[in-house]
Amino acid sequence: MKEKITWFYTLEKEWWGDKVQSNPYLATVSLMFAALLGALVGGGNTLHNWFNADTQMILLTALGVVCIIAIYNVGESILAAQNGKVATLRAVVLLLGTLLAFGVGYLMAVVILVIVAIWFVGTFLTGALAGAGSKKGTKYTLDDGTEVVRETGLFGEESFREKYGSRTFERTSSGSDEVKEV
Amino acid sequence: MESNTKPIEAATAPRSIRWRQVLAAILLCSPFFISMARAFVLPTLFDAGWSHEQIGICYSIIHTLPQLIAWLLLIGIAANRMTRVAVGVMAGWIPFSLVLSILGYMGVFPDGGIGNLMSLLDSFVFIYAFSILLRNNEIAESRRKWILLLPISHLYGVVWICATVAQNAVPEGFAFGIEHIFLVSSGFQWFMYILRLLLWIAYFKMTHSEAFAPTYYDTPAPAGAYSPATKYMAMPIICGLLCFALSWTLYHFADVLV
Repeated sequence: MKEKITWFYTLEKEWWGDKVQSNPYLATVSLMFAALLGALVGGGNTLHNWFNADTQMILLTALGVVCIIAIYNVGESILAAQNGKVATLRAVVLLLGTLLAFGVGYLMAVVILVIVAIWFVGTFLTGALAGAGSKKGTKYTLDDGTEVVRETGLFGEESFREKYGSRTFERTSSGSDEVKEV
Repeated sequence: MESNTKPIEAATAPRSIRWRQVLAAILLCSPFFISMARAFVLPTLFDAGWSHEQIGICYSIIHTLPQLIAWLLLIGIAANRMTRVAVGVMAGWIPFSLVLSILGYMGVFPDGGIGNLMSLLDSFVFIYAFSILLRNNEIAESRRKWILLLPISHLYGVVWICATVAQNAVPEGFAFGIEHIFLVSSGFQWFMYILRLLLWIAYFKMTHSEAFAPTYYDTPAPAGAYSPATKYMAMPIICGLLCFALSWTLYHFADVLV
């Protein structure tokens, strides 16, 4: 758990070593919060556009929040770094990183929603359309030569429909091989 | 190897010191709970016929008194003269700003300018005090990286003013009112909850740090110990300018973004 919310700290220790004495959590949590905010804005606005859902978020406000979060991290960079070069570099990395995290979160949410939509259409809608059309059932030929197709209804009820006509048949009793016209 | 950097004083601090450290930390964390409790108490108070001003004055007192008590408790266990000055600055500023805020509720200052000025000054005073505390104590890195969050958290006043000024500086075609400034958005409030969570740890780290120890080293302050010309004081200025620049850009292109 700790590694998951301190990964930026681990990275910056690799980059700058002891030249920066920053808080292990603030930068990572900020980046992840920016990404989450991006995902909420991107997903919320997409859902609003598609279904007119009450999930619209103002992009301007969210970007403002991301800027303020970045500024808090710039403040930490100035205090935590041992020299000006590292402070500037860390500030720039976090400033761009927070904005990038927001953008990535935004795009990821939209992409995931599009994928879910495509999957939804692909699975349910094609299934429903296929179900509404002619269903391929097992074919039987009755003793009088009539060709029938076996169909099962929504609740498993069985019926035999005439292939080249409009008559329907069902079994005389369950398990029986004989059919009668309905 | 964080366990090895623990100072001997803190590990073996006598009982009289330890209760002060713990109590001060709890009191410094308390404003969050008080502001949470206010949301539940407010309807009852309004039903009981309290006015907005009366509630405001009571809330200011209840909100700031624990912090004042905490800093007064910490003055007694300051490790050196510089720490004592730093804590004294904070303990002195709190009643001053409290009196001004009460006067504000009583309608002494007709326009809201004094409130903005106070929040700006509040930021600078606290950051200055923490800069004295951080620069004049040899605080172990494991604690230092937490205590750094305290001056950063006091950037709020600077950020507020700069964002407001930027918003007012962009009049052309700006559709939103003042209430749409992003600092009051729920997104920012959630970030502040996370920051406050870290600040609770920071307050405990600060009161248990080398700055507050059972022994008082009465050495004279070295040259430049109280100097405001440090990176700590540069931080709010740089962050303020950056905040102004970023907010101005955002508001300038607001029509495109919305």
